[in-house]
Amino acid sequence: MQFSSIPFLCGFLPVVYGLYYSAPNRFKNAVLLIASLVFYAWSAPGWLFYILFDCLVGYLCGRLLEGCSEKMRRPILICGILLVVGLLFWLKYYNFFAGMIGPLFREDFVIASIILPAGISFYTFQILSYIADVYWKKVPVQRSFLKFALYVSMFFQLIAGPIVRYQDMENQLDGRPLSLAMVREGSGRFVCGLAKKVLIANPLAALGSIYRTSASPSVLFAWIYALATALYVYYDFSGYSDMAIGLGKMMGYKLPENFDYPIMAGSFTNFWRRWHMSLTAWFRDYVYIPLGGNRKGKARQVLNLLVIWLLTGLWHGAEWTFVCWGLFFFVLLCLEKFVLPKRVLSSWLYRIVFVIGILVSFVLFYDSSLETFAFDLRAMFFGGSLPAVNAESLYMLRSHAVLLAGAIIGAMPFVHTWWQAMQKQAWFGWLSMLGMAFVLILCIGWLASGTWNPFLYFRF
Amino acid sequence: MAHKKRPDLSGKTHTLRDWMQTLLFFGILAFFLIGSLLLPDAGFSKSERRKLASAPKWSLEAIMNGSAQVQLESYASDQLIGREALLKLVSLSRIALYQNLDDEGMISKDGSLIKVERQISEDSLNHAADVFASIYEKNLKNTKCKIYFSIIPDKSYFLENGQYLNMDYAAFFEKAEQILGFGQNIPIADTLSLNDYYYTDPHWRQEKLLDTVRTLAKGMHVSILEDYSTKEVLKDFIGQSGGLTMLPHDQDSLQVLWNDSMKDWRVYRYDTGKPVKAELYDVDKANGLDPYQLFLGGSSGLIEIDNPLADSSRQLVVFADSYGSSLVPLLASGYGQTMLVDLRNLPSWRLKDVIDFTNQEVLFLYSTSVLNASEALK
Repeated sequence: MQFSSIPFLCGFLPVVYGLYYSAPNRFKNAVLLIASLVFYAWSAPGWLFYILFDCLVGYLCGRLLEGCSEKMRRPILICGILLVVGLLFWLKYYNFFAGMIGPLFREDFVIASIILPAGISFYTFQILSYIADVYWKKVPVQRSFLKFALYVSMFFQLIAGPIVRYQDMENQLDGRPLSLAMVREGSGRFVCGLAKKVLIANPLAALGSIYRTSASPSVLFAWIYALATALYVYYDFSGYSDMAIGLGKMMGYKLPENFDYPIMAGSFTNFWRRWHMSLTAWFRDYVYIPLGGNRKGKARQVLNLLVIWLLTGLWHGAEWTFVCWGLFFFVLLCLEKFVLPKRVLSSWLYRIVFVIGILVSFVLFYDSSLETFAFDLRAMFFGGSLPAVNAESLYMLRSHAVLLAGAIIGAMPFVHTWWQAMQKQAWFGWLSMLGMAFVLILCIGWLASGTWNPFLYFRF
Repeated sequence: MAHKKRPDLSGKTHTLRDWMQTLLFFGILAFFLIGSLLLPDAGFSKSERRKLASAPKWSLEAIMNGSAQVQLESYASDQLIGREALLKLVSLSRIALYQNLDDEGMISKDGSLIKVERQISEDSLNHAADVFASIYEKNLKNTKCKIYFSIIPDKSYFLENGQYLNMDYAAFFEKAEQILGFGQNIPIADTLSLNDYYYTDPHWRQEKLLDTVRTLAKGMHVSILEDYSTKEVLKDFIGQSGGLTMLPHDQDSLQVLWNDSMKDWRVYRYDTGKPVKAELYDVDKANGLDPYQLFLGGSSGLIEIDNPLADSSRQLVVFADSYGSSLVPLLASGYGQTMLVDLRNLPSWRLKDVIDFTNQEVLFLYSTSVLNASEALK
């Protein structure tokens, strides 16, 4: 089930929150767990098997690590990791590698019936972080299976994050304050995320699809496509994170922020401190630092970075485009860390290079194949036989100027700063409340009209 | 603080705005939930001209393979309370909020709503070519039938070339004329202008078609009625484009051309394979879901018009889309029998069972919009 769907908005959400608010405190977690499992099973009930298996492995690992001897801790950790990662590998990566290895043996090892369950990369990482933290004795073991399953499967962050750490959720699972102010703030954040998705990301994606089917591409249209794609990915994913954080808050949960205006980062290193922050932090804490980070010399650091960015690429999908996407950032980050002087990095020219690099990276991220990406790259930078500008590209630019300009402005922090400042004015507070109601109704209208509405991060 | 805080039951504080926004948020969602549950299901969307999804049939198998859930999502969207108003709001937002130059490919020009045809679909033209070639090879070749064709321009033909990204119509006509090359072309585009079409519907207005019919009759060497009176059947006609968009447009009325001799004609529809008597102008349909079905009662695989006042030896078979149903009554005045075939409802491979082609006059009359999306032609 998607947040941006009529059954969720006008069915699941009011019913589940109604039940949750009416339930006595001791039953609230049970209501949320049942709702989360229904939410997850909605698309394919068979997916419940995978998440419950992973929950069981994570839970048992924690319990075993608690009671075992020091000698047994490492084997239990390795077993837990192998089981959880093994399931992820089977469902997400087996066919990718089988497709590569098969031709070497002139055999077809691909199993077409394997279907990737939504959100498995997210909940796998949550379970891995729990097992590792218990192993490192950073967090106490969760003895209640219900609470552990709830930590893994909370519906608002289950499908597309943010990736939450057990240490951040431990106390909240036992009990959390809930006030009307939190419900109000949460509902506002949810509507903001819904608007990002429905009113900005979806029309941007539709613009991208016009380019994809255009019979008369041009250099200008290729750049419009790149801009629309980068903004689409940002609004789609950050919109989902906003909805997740808002829905959590409406139940008293505090989830970590996942985006911090990455468009304003100015450098690729800084970009990854602001983009999908929960994933970046996860790789830093559970892979990069355990591998030695930057403590074992420059060569080892480069190797560690290579591992991290290959994994980051593969985490997003078992496709060569994602692998190249990860490597693309590895190269850029190495350049920033080891090659380019500070004065270059702080120059305005480099900011322009950064923006162009981000646009290229998201074209690579979004394109369905490396061949398609090669075509787009050629169109953007070399043109070839393509005209620089034609009637179609000018029409599309004029027709989508408000959308593109609005999306760029909305991705900058000053809008939020201004919004927060204005909230102190009573009249603006009431006006923004009415605005929220209008935007919610408008979003429902757009969804009812059946316009293009997939969620990009569902496949991760 | 701008909002005065009051203690609530749990000892925490809240503001009036906390209450109001919470109630508003859940009130809106609850309104759509409860309203949609209470509202009886609608079967048809008048503005979109399509059947609406019905409630899924629940079974363990349907739940396990996810098909019931997918159906429920379509059902929930289609049967949402206030859906028609919401669609208008969406259309308005495209125009007013996003300042789009078109509304999902629809534009407004001189009071007329025009769905812009943007790309020539080679696949579609090839499909149409296969269907027509098959009809010619299996039914018309080696007969004494005289074959003609005419291509009806859709409304975006009348925009300037490339305006609103409309397709290259010269190239389209060239390709379309090639696929009907086994017949004699009777060009009619020059007899038409944007004013000859409804403001809110893609179809042409029958009362404006006399020049076009004369051109066709001249090309086919047949005499037709010239003396008609105009009757208004529906004063406020909103066509299929008018229901979809909030773009400004002029008001239409639905009119028919009438000659008293028409009352002696007999019309039969073959919807079920057997002839059923029908009306040349079905006034009841004008007040129904699709008022354009006024003409011959709407599309059918085969419609027959017998005109006892005309030369019974002259028979006409017209292969046409929905544009044909308003034009054929005017052409039928010159023929003893006129058959109107809609290949969307009567597959070409069944033609031999219903029409014995010998020496009839055969007219292929298709609009650019159907030729450019011909998948439904069978």
